[in-house]
Amino acid sequence: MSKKKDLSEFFSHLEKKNYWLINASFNEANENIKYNAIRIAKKGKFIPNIELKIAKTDIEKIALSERIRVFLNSSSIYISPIELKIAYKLFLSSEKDIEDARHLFNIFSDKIKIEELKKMVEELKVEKKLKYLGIKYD
Amino acid sequence: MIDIKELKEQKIKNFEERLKFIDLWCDYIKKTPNKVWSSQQAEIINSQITKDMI
Repeated sequence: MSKKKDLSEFFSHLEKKNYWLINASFNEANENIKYNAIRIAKKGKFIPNIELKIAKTDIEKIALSERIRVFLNSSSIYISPIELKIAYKLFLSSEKDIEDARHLFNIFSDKIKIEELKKMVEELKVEKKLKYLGIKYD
Repeated sequence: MIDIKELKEQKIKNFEERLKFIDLWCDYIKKTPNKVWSSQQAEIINSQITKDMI
């Protein structure tokens, strides 16, 4: 996700570095990204690919502003807070999403801030789905 | 003739079983050294990626 609105320089750089846009042309990308996510892959390939979008919703903006840095050997990436991920998956609510929420909750149980999770769950109005995590909500 | 009621009940049961499996898997991950469980996962992921994709 990105907060920036003008990514023309970035798209130009991608084209020079031999990437292509799966669902847009380089000419249209800077305009298209205002409405849809853009999928990027190395030229000649379809997978692996990465999805780029502009943060628009409150959830997306929170994911960026409260991001967590994860260290992987000598590199790092940013992810959204685990509490937000879990609450959002409960909101999406397919069986797979609920399984993912439960998985995240179990794995990170000793690191999750329960009050933060409850706050996000209340914001997304998915209190009744906490039962899938084994949490009683009063 | 397919018994839809039976199918719906099975769907709920399958989902409950999958949730229980997730608990077992998470328990296993927490009790097992990272190298051991992650190498099992890597086997699946690596089988999906070919050299020319990288």
